[in-house]
Amino acid sequence: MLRLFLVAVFVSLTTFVQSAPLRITITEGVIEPLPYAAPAFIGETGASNELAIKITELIKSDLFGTGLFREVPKSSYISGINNFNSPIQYSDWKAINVQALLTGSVLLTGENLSVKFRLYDVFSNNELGKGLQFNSTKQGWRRIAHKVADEVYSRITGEQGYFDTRVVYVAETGKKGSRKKRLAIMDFDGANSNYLTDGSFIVLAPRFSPTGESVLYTSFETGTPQIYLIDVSTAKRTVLKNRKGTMSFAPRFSPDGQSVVYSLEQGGNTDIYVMNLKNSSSARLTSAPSIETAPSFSPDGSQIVFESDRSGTQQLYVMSSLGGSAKRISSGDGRYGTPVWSPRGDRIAFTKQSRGRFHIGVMRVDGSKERLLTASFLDEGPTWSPNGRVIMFTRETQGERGVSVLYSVDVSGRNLKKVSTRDGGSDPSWSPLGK
Amino acid sequence: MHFGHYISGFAHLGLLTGLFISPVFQKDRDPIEYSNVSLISQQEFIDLTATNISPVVSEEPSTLKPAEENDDKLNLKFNAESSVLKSEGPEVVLDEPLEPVIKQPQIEVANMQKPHEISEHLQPPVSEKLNSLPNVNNEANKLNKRSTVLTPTNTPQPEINFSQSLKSTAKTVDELDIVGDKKKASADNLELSLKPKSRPRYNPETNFEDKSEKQVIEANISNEIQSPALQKSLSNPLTETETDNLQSAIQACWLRDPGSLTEDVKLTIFISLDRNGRVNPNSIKVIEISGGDDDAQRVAFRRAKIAIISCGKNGYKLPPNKYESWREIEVVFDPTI
Repeated sequence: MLRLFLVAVFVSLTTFVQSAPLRITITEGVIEPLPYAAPAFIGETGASNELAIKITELIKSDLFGTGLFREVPKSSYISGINNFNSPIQYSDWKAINVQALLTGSVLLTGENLSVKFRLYDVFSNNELGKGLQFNSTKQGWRRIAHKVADEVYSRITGEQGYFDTRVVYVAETGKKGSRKKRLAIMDFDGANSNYLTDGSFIVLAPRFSPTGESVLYTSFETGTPQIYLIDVSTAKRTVLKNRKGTMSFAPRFSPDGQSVVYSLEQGGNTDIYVMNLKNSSSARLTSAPSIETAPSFSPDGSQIVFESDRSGTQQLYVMSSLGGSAKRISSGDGRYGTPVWSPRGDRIAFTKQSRGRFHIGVMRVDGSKERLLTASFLDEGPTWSPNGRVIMFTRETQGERGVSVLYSVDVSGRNLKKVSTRDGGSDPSWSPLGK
Repeated sequence: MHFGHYISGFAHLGLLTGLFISPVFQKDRDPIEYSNVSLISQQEFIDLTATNISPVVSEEPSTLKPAEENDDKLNLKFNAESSVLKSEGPEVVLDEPLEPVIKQPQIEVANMQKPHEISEHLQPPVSEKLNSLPNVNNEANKLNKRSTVLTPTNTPQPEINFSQSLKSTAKTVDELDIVGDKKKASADNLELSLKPKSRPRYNPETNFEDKSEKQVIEANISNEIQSPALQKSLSNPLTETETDNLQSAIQACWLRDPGSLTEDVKLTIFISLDRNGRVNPNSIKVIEISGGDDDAQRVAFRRAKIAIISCGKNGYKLPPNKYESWREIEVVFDPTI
């Protein structure tokens, strides 16, 4: 025993006497896009070359658009990629400070398209994830490019990508007082835009279903606002019936897609209701004499955030999805509206009007850590990207010639940019990933 | 910087030396045995003393004779087979063995596999991995449900098949081994080590049989303390400016992403440097990590690792005469502050 004790003392003492490792703490870093390289994908046949370049450019466009990636120009390359299966000279890429390297090849045989890619973590001398191959027809080249970009984004950031997604919105054409408003759907980058309604009636607030197969929206087709459900693949519409003499609007799906929460105005009072889509039965969730509207489910379906003027000004409240008492979460100056729960569940995006300016902002679900991301004459109607990283919203410019356009901003407040649309646009709703 | 440690270390040393000198470690005295005492009568005493026989003193002292050749047959003979000395003499038959025979417990080898078999078991062959991939046709069918819309410009969305993963050319990040406590860092590609492995260790070859334990310990402690490198290090830690410069050098390469979940991840990384200030890439280990989910932790580690390697690729500018002070560093990356 004595010997063991002495040995233990000796070991601990020698370790102790030796100086402990130096310890330093880094709290500041640099906020810069990550440098990466994406040499043009290799066309495996002559016919593949043109498409290989287009696919590479679209992938780079997707990544650049996030504000998180910076492409190292080709002129800096020390070594190139001439063969998809060639080993990577990591030192050459490290030397030009490339952190991630994307290589790929494209094979077009007739109408069949096959795209392969690999991603490398240059500073670890390793492949980052496994190589993948996508097969489609030639027409599907954009989707394939978006899917490759999603994979690259996901592997580098640890978050889901959002490039293979679509946006449904209200396309606006014509003068300010007499605009034609149609439901439109497009890829997240503005490509493949198409109309879902013909513009005969005013439409508002489209909202994707959790599966991305259908869209809820409000239409004035009958003279009073009513909620409709449209299948995006067949354009078949159904109306969610409600009692006569009522107005229903501001619909949004529950996370399981089985029910719809919405506002119903009756006798001058507006409250929040939930409708079971299977049997069309409705239940009232609020019963205050004030206006309660713009409900949005939490991702787990257990709570609902909504706006109400019960305190005298428009504020945000959270309640159980079964109804009952609600807790006010907004506390700053100004008016708050159109809250939307983040897909991550940790934040709520909202519109805020304060001192004559409109803002898009985010706060924690308990109302803490409020941050305003934008400011303009009129910003409103936020929608989250499916990964909870980007917010798209409507920005309307001032004056008779003012137009509504779609903008997006990173949740950090960076990378504010206009979203490309065929016409003017408002009320965007982002689809789930891959829909 | 570690002045308190040094004071405490020497205080402990003094305490232990005191303990060795003092009788604390001397063997305890034999315990006192108690027995019952009774009185005897005078007659019993006389009888008892009467039996004592005085020793007989011989006039000639007895002489010791050398043992004759066959006398008692007590010889030592080297047994080449057993390599031990065995006594050969009159056979003594004992009813019972003097020493109990200690049987070695039988050890059953419980179906152990060879190392390569274990490896194969843990790493399923590529064909199995391919078989376990999701049904690509189902995925493609889901993708095909993209819309055809009202206007004539609508075109059906093309079918996209997810094909198999391409064969990897190198060990991927996802395949890195996990070492350590998963509760502290469960991201599946982090290299974890709760304790740096390069610290001084007890030398098991130290021979305690030849010297007294006390002497050995004293000698070793003395050697450690008198090591020139350590003496230099102890008396010459990095200055605040030198430490700040190192911090600035690393943070200049630490890419942060304020909108991501990595901003919730705090991690501590151990690194060792050579005398030129270059980081040994194999030494980089996570020793503590918290916050964020597995993906965020994995990305946070990669970003921290790249920061350390990329900014130190030409060697960090550190004073060579203080190498012992910076040869091992724990870098805490804390974006939560």
